[in-house]
Amino acid sequence: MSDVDLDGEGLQRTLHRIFQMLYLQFAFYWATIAAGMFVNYYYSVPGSVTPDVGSIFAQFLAAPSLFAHVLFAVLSSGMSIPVILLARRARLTKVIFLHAGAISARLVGFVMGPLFIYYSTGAIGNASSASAATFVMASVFLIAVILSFMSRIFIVREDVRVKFIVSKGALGGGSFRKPG
Amino acid sequence: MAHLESRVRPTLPGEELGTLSLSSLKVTLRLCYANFVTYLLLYVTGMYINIYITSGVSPVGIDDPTNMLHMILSSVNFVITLTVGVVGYLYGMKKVAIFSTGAVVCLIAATIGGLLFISSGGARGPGVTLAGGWIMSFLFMLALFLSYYATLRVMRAIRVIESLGGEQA
Repeated sequence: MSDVDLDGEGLQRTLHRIFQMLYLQFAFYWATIAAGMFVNYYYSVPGSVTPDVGSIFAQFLAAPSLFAHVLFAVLSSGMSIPVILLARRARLTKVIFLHAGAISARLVGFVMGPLFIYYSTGAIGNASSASAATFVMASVFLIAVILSFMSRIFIVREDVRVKFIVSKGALGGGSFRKPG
Repeated sequence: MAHLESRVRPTLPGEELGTLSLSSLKVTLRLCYANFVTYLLLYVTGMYINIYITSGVSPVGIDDPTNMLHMILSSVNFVITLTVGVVGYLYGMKKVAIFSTGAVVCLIAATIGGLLFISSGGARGPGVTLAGGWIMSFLFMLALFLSYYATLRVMRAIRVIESLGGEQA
C-alpha cells in the first residue's frame, strides 16, 4: 500500500479524481459497445485474410469499425490503471483488486478477438470455435464491466464515510483512517 | 413510528435521502441488485441468440425457447425498474426517479426495436431488421447504465443514513 497519508480533504480530492476516471471509463465502455455493434452488423472477415499474426492484426487497421472497437476497448481497459493508482493512494484495496480483475478479464478478451478472426479465415473455417471465441470475448467484457461497476460501490461507500468523518472530525478531532 | 421518524430526516446538501425508511431502502437496493442479475442473464441469452442462433443468416423466431427466456427476463427488468422509479417518485428521491424513468423509456423503446427485429425476419438482415436490432441492443445497454446510477443513489442514501445513526438521525 501507499505510504502517503491523506487528510480528509486530500482523500475527497482523490475520490473525486477516481469518479472522473470512472466516468471516462464508462464512456469508453459505451463507445466499445457501439463500435462492437458496428462490427457485429457490418464486419465480416474477408476471404483474403490468412491465419497468421501479421494478416490478422492488419485487419484491425483495415476495417474502421474494428479499429474503433479495439481502440475503445484498449482505452476503457487502460482507464483502470489510473483508478488503481488513485485507489492505492486512498487505500481502497477492494477497488484495486476489482480493477485488476477487470484488466485481467479484458486481457482474455484481447486474446479471443484475434482468435475469432483466426477461426474465421478461409484456411481454418472453424465456425463453432469462432462462435465460442466471440462468446467468451463478450462474456469477459461483461465481467469487466460488472467488476468496474462494483468498484464504484466501494468508492461511494468511502466517499460517504469520508464526508461524514470530516464533519464529525471537525467537531471532535476524529481520525480519517479506516477502522481495522 | 419508523415511518414518522423517517419524515423528519435532515436535509443534507448534495445528498438525496428521501423519506423512505432505512429497511425499505435496503429492500429497494436488493431489488436493484436483482435487476442487475436479470440484466446479466438478459445479456447472456442475447449474446447466445446473436452468436449461436442468428449467426450468419439463420433467423430466430418469437417461439424460440432462448428468445422466450430473453423476453421474460426483459419483462422482469421492466417491472423492477418501474418499481424503483415509482419508489423514487413517491419517496422524494428525484435522481432515482429520473434515472429509473429514463431506463423504463429505454426498455420500452428497446422492446419495440426487438419486436421489429423479430417481426421483420429475425436474422442479420438489412433495413428494418438491422434498425430494430440496433435500437434493441443500444437501448438495453443504456437502460443498464441508467439503472446502475439509480442503484448508486439508493446505496448512497443508505450509507448516509447509517452514518448519521440510522433512523434516529
